[in-house]
Amino acid sequence: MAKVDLNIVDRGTSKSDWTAEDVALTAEHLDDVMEQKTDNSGALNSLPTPFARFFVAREAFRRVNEEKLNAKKAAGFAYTQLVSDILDVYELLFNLKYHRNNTWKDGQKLELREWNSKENLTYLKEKMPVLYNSVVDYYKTDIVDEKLYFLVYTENGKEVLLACSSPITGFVTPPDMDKAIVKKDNTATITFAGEQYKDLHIRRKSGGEYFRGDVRLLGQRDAEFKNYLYSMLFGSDSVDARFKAIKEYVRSFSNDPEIRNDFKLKTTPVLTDQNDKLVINGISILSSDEIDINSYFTDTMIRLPYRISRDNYKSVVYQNDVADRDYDYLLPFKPEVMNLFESGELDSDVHINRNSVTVTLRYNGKEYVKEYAQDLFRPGQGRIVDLQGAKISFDLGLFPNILSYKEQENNYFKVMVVAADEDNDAPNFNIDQISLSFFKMEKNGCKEIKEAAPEDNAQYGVEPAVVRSRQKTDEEESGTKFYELFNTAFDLIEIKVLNDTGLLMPVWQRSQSSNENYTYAIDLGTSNTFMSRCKNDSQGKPDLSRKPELFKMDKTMVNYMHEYSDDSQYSITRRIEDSIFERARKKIKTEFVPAIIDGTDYRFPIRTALCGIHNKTNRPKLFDNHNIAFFYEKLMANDDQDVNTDIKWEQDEYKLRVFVRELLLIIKCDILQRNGDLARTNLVWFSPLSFMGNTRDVYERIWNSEPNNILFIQPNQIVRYSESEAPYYYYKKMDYIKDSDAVTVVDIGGGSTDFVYFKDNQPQAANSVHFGCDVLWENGFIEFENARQNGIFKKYFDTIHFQRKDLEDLNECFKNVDSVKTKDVINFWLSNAKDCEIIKYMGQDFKPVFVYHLTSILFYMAYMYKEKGLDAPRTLVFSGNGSKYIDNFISRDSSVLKKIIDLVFQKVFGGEHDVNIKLPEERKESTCYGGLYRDKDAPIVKDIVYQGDMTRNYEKVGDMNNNLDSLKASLLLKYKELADLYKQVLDLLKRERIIDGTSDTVKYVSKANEDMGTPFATYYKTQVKEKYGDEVIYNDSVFFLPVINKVFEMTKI
Amino acid sequence: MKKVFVFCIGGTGIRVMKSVTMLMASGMSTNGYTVVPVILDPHLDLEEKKNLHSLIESYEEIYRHSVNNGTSTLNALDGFFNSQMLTIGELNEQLNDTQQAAGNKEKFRSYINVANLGANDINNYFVQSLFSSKNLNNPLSVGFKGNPNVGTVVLGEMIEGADWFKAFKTQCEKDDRVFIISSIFGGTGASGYPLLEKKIRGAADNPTVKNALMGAVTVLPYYGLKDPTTTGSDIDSANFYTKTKAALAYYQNTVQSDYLYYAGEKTLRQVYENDEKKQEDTANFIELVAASALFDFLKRERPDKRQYLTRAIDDDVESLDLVSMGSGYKDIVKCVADYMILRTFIQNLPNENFFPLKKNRGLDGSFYKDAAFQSLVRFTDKYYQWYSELSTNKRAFAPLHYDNIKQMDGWVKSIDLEAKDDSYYLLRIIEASNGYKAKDHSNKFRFFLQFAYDAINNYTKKIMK
Repeated sequence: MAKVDLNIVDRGTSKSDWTAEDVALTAEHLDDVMEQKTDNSGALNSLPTPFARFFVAREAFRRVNEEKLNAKKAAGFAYTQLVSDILDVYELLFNLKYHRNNTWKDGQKLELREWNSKENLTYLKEKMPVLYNSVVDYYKTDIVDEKLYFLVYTENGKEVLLACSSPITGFVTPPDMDKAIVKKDNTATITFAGEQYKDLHIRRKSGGEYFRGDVRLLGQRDAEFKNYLYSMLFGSDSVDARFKAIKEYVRSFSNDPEIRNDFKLKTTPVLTDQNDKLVINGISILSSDEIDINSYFTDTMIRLPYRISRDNYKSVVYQNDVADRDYDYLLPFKPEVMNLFESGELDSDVHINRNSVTVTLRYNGKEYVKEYAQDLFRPGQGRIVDLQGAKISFDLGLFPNILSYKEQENNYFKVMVVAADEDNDAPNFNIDQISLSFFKMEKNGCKEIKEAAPEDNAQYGVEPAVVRSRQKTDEEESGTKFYELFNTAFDLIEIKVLNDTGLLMPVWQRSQSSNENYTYAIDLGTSNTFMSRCKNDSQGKPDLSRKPELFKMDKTMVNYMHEYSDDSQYSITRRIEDSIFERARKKIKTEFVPAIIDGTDYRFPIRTALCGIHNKTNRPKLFDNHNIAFFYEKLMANDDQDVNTDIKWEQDEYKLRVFVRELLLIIKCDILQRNGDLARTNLVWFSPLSFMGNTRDVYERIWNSEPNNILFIQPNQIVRYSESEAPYYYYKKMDYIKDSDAVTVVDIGGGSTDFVYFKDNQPQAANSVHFGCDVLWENGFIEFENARQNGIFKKYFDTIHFQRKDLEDLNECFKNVDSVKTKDVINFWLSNAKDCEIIKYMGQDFKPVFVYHLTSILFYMAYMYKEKGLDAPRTLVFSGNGSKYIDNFISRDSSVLKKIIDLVFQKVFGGEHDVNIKLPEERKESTCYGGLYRDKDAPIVKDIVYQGDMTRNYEKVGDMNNNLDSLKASLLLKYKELADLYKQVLDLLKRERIIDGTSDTVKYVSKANEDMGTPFATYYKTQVKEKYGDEVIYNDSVFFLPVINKVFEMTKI
Repeated sequence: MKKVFVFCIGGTGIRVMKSVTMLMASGMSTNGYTVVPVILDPHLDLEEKKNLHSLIESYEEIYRHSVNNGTSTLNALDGFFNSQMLTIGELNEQLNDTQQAAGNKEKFRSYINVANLGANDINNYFVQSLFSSKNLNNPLSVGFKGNPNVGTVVLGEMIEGADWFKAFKTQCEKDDRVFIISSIFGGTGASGYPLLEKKIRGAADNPTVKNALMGAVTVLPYYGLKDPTTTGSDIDSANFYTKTKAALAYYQNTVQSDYLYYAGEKTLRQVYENDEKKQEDTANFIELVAASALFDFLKRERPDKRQYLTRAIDDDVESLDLVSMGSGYKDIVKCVADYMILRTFIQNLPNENFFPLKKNRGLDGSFYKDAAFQSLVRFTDKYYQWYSELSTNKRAFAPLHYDNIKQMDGWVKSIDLEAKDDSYYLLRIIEASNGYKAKDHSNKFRFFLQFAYDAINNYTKKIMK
């Protein structure tokens, strides 16, 4: 027979009658009791004390520990969730610093409120006597501690109790936080006992949420937390015996592979609301001060609809990359991750899985992993934000993409953001919803470069982003935005798209220290701007032994995000521009600097044109609202942008600054790419004598300040030469001038024509008139900007067409946009003359007009020299782009041109002349090149003013106003003489068969002979007298006032 | 009159007291103690509680009839109904018992005045740490739903200010004893037992009470309830053992009784419906064992040190008889056998036309219709039901065969009684009547019980050998 005690445990009683012993059933006796698991938290309060909850928690740890030791002794959901919740409390406090710094950004807070038993029990005696009567004695035996602490979490202004301190298990969660499994219709759901926890969502650092029922026992928690409990809280023998259950549970993890005996951790005591350290029954509750690697992963991973160029930016590294990958990811980290990597080299890679990607971050010999998926299928996964799916794309352009080895020279960087939403159904993403933050690696970690403005005396910073343009239609929304970093470089960009972020690291080109230095010459002409470069010799002067170089770069100066092909069939510019997403293509061309001045798609000379936004309220600022229109004559700007082609004579200093600034930034980039020494750079710029009023001052200010800001050079490294004289030095150097007895250079530009006279290689006089070739394409003195009366323009308006569709489209745009001037349209035709037959037509149709223009210049020049006492030049060299009309529309035969000049000189100087003439190929380049060759110490040319008459000194406007009749009378005689000369030249050209002998030139001659007095009087009044005061030195020449009008009139014949 | 105050706490207390009453009715000796049951259960509508009250009233009525001698009172009989039972109300001549003190529909939240705390009072968190919203919102009338933490507060207050406790303290005299019956795995009993001990031992103003010899039986888990997730009940028998372990560990340092009896099972053998409002759990062997603790206690003297008592059964079988239970259970088996034999008389004698006592002792038709006998009939019906439940429960207390009055020699399993059928007993009744010459009373009902017991005991005393 099997005797059995009628007891829950067999004490060995053999008698069937009542048998007494001295010993009660103790916990030790009870060890053998086989318990069942319980899933019902509502049934846990087992003890006859109001503080039963505290003992229930102890039992929970004991049961869970039993289950750990013997899997058959299942503790059940009720106890495991209670243990999990209490461990959550420890973990929450352990990660308090992390949560406060990372996840609680919307005012969430956690407080530990002290409850003093003495004070509060007295209070309860009055307010809740029934409860008081019960707890007052039990408190002394069950709790003992003088204080309890309540862990109170506040979110959206609403407080919830998360836990109460316990001398038995450290903490207990309130019974209302217990979960129950409720089965209904064969479905089990987990619900909180108390309604107040229904909306409790506290993100767990390691993924998921605290207290929500995803039970995590200690073994499933982070290694650091496990070690903290194991070693720091419950590792000591002196831990109070009342902690036995939790201590045994925690210490049962001694064989856990993540438990380390040498565990050390930087911690901070958790403080109560009274600023006391939180100590519960002798154990100090601590918060981790350690770096939390997992917290550096972002919750989402941004997937881009294109591959990121690894030459330009560092992004994710693929463990198992595939060749046909047409997407890429931003680094799914928070910027602080770089604090771990002093070298700036992030140790991370990505493994592409079937339905997810796994990101691995390696630090300190350990791997930290986070999985991302588009459709989440595992707890703890991050979400992939697929921009392609959302039909959103964006790109960044970083300019310049090179760093100087001298840190202080890294003082300007511009980042263009171009973004578009191409969702035809409902574009809802716009440029405002993408933003950048910049970070810099410093000795003490990765620091954000904060937003600041230089005018606020910030030493460095990021200027507030400026939206440059935005286009919105029913089908798409796109735009651009610019960030400017001043006085600092950066190492990291955090990109925020909508509410998701990712990182990108620029791959900088870096300049090396060397003794190389350069001189650059910039000829900012009315129509075209040219730039040349010359390496300096050891003395820091242009190396005259070599020919100056056309400005051209070997490397890109902008880092775009997108990858481009290495197919050499196409230029690098095309590859870069064509690889960007379609909506961005035009924007990067029209609103930013070219990725490279490759000498093919982008080359000097460029049109002197500035692109800017319609909105004129803001001061012009480079890229934010204006930039050099490198695209001009290739592409139309977006509707919200204008192109200004009158920069040179523009009174707006800021626009000029923008233009010069962009050129200088390009130069800076070029110098650094060549490892040049920025600070030893020399600059040469040119000005025409004909600058009026304060225009020259404006230029002086700009050229004295901007190079210093950008290139860090001093005024003595910047020289200005007259546009007139510069070509001489180049031509001389090129040996175009065989006889240097009396040489003149005639530099015909778009806006002005400059003359310089050399005798025996010494400059004698220089003069400049605002009479360039643009006069041929303009509308005389018609004040309206949109005047389109020019005869040449009107002649070809409907007839000029292009084979190339892009040019034809552009032609249509130019013709149809009112703000595009006649000279701009004609210059466009001329720039693309090989694609239309404009040169052929124009030469046929308007030769007499060009002849008149040239004759006027030669006539004026000859009289000027004569009346200044100079001999007729023996050599005459043409320069300037404008002079090309001579070759193009009059004759390429220099002997004919010589005859014309000889005829003019004969007429003016008398006698026979045998002039040497030169029409070099490098017409525009000559100024720049000449500037480089000019000896800095060469004598300065004397500027002379010539109004067409030397009977009086007409230096100032007042001089002319006071003697206008006299001046006019003299000039009328000259105009008559000019008209006669013009007829003779035409006749000469007929004889030379340059002009068809049957051509009717009479009407031109007749037009030349028409009244010049009235137009002179009229235009003198409007262009001189009414514009300038008497004291203004009039550097231009009034001689050309009626001539300009005459040219315009002739175009209309 | 020496008394034993039997505090029956919670559902288990009620059921054990039922067994106590049945055993007393069937002849179990209280060693001269008047049993004063005090039922502590705020469970207002509990049917079992009402039934126990009714049972006790029946017992008392039968007892009174058995000792009634007109204007005087006779000594208690030997055998059936040999001990007096009095309620605390009767003892103190006041009618209130525990029911009115706490068994109302007020919510616990209101009972402890949670509303007195302001919205921002930190003590709200103190309350939330101790009690769930469900605890706070439960009316006291449905008991403590397995929450002794709530029970402790309510019963503490209930005891502190209750008339019955004052009456107890007044009526408790030298040599009176206290016995507490409770379960350890429920709500009311688990909280009431240590609380009551504390209150009694803490009665500094009443040394008699404070020092009264005190016994207690703690009923350990012995039955299960159906899965609460399907019924929404808050009571989950799956954690009975865990709760018991926790409670016993807690009691280890708090027990103050002189004798503490343990009774329970190692596994939950019977599973009842999980409906705490009804708690119509059938009588169980463990309750009978727990009831036996009272009678054991009443036989013991004050110990030198606290004693912890358990008892065993000889064979761990599902259906127990005398052999499998062991000799320690003879008294119980004899009592139950005696009463079940008595039942045959109660059933058959009214129909016996030629029974001699009809004439010479007046046990005629009017006697059987009299209130006293009818009380006995009703009580016996309950007794029969009680034993039927015991004999069919798990585990079963089934030491008897009682279905055939023509084969009564085999009614007690494993023992051959000499009375082969009911005629043996009837003859012995007649002999007992004839042998009783005293003229001290003319109480027919007493004659009936007295002679029946003499007759039955004549044969069943063999059980005790």
